Formats: sequence, structure tokens, C-alpha cells
Amino acid sequence: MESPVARVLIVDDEVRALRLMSRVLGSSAIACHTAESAADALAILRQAPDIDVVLSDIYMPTTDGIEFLGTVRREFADRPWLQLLLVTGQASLETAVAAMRLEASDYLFKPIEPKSLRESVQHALTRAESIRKVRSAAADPTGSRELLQIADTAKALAEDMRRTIEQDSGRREPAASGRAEDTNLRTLKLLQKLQEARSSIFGEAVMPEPAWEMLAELMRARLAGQHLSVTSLALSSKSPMTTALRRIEDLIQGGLAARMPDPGDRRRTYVELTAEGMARMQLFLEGFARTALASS
Amino acid sequence: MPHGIPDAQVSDIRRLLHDVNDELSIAALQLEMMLEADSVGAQSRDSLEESLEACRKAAGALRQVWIILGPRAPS
Repeated sequence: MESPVARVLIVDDEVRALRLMSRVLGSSAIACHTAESAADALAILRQAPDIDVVLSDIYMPTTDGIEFLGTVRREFADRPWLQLLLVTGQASLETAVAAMRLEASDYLFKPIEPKSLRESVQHALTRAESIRKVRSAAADPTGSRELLQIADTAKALAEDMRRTIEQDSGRREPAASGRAEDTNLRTLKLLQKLQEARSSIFGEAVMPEPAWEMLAELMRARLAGQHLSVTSLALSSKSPMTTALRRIEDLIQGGLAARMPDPGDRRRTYVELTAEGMARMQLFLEGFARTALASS
Repeated sequence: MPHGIPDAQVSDIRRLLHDVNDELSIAALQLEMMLEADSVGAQSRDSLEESLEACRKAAGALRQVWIILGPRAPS
């Protein structure tokens, strides 16, 4: 059987730590390269373009981990999908700032738990894969057109949301009923198109997040002037009911959605996007449109 | 120098603490891997779990020492 391509590089001057971390990841079918020094690690990175994740100890007697990761970012600036994971023994402001500067995807504290290591690396691999996909879509003329379409869709949606927010806040007269219906219908179609395009580019495995599906559904309902019950919203997530209900609670706790009692039936409760939720979705769509346009 | 340790010695102490933490991490990870294996008997499992707990407590104590030493001076 062919062995999987190693997409992870572990850097630690302690051989036993390297061996153990490789074993932990190997038990989840994640193959790794290992390096005992920054020089070895850089040599491996130059020869292995398949590497997506670099996991490095920060404090090593012979190597400054932060300096090494900074070099990785500079030397491999043409690999923006590279995910950096920092391993540290001590939580400090210094580590947090370094992680932010390096745009590290995560940092792990020693003693590392195997579960955290696997989850963190898996998450980083998924992120790297999605960035690679977007870049290859942008390089391919067909993919580039698709990205531009998504960007246009996102821009149009953001514009619709801006209008809705302005209408809600009374800064603008509401549109005539017929026009508002047209806008809503267009918005719904655009939203569906956006979701389809997102799935085709990123794949369901990359973003199977029910919270996103429900946020989009809440946004669609808000723009269409519809009320959504908890059950309808949960069903729209295409996820198991218990997962969906937990995510609805997360959205409510996060201030993005709120429960509203049905004035006609006290036993029923609606879920609505809050003003904060609307504003954030608008920001997201505008940002998404900018990113897609920049990368195409 | 709120801890009363001369500055010249603090960096040596930090290095030693890192070494101790590295050793603890290796022991803890090794124990976790052994515990993940299905072949471990109940009695061995109890011993491994106790050892792991001891490593975690020691690592927690080390973190307290780091806090007492305070942030590293800018290089």
C-alpha cells in the first residue's frame, strides 16, 4: 500500500519529543517529516512542497523557534497556505504576540495532550487545503470566473443587507412593497447561488459548519420578512437536531441571534438575526467579495 | 527582582525549568500514548493514570514558578 504524503513538519531539538509526536499523529494516519534543527527544517521545506503544516517548539537551546518560523514565513512567502503551529512550555504575552505576528494557526502548551495535538494539526491541514483550493481555482480560468461570480453575489448580498439595515434603522423610507419583494426574491436566489458556489469550491468536508448554514438561513428569512421557528432553523442546518440546537444556543449566546416570542401563539418561539448578526454578515460578505476579487 | 533571586541566575533557572518541563512533557505524552492502547490492563491503567496526574501536577507547579519569576527581560 502506498504511504501517505507527509504534509506535516515537526521541529524539535529533542529527539524523543519528535518521535512521540510523530507517533501520535501517525496513529491518526497523518504522516510527518521531522527535523532537529532550523537548518534541517528549512532544507526539508525547500525539498518538500507538499508540506502544509510546520509544528515547532519555540524554546530550543540551539534554535530560536520564533526566529525560525519568521524565516519560514519570509522564505516561503509564495506558500501562503503554510500553517504554523507553535509549541511552548510557558503561556506568555511574548508567545501570544509572536503567534499573532507569524499568523500562527494555533499554539499548544506542554505537556501536550495527544487529542489536542491531533485536533490542532487536523484543523491546520484543513485550512491549508482550503487555501490551496481557492488559489488553484483562481489560477484556473474556469475557477477564476466562478470566484468572480461568488464575489459579485457576495457584493450584491451585502448591498441588500445594507439597505435592510438602513430601512430597519429608519434612515431611509422603506421600498415600495413590490420592489421589496423583487429584492427579496433576488436575494434568496443570490444566497442560494452563493451557498452552491461555496460548496463547489470548498467542498462540504471543509466547512460543514451548521452555524454558518443557520446564519445564512436567518439572513435569508430576515431579508424576506419571514419568521423562523427553532425547528425550521435547525432543519435548515442539514445537521443532526442535537448539534443544530447546540449551535443555535451558540448563536444566541454570541449575540448574533435572539429568541422572539410569537405574539399570536405564546407556545411558539421564533429565532431572528440580531442587528449585530446582520451587521456581521454584511461585513463578512463585503470582506469575502474583496478577498475573492483580490485572489482572482 | 521581587523574588529575591539575582538577575544573573534567573536565566539559568529559566533554562533549567524549560528542561524539566520538556522532560515532564515527554513522560506525559508517553503515558497518554500508553493509556490510548487497548492492551493495557485495569491495574496498569490505574498506575498510568496516577503517573499522568502526577506529571500534570508537576507541570502546574512549574507554571507557578514561571509566574513568580515574572516575564523574561527583552533581549
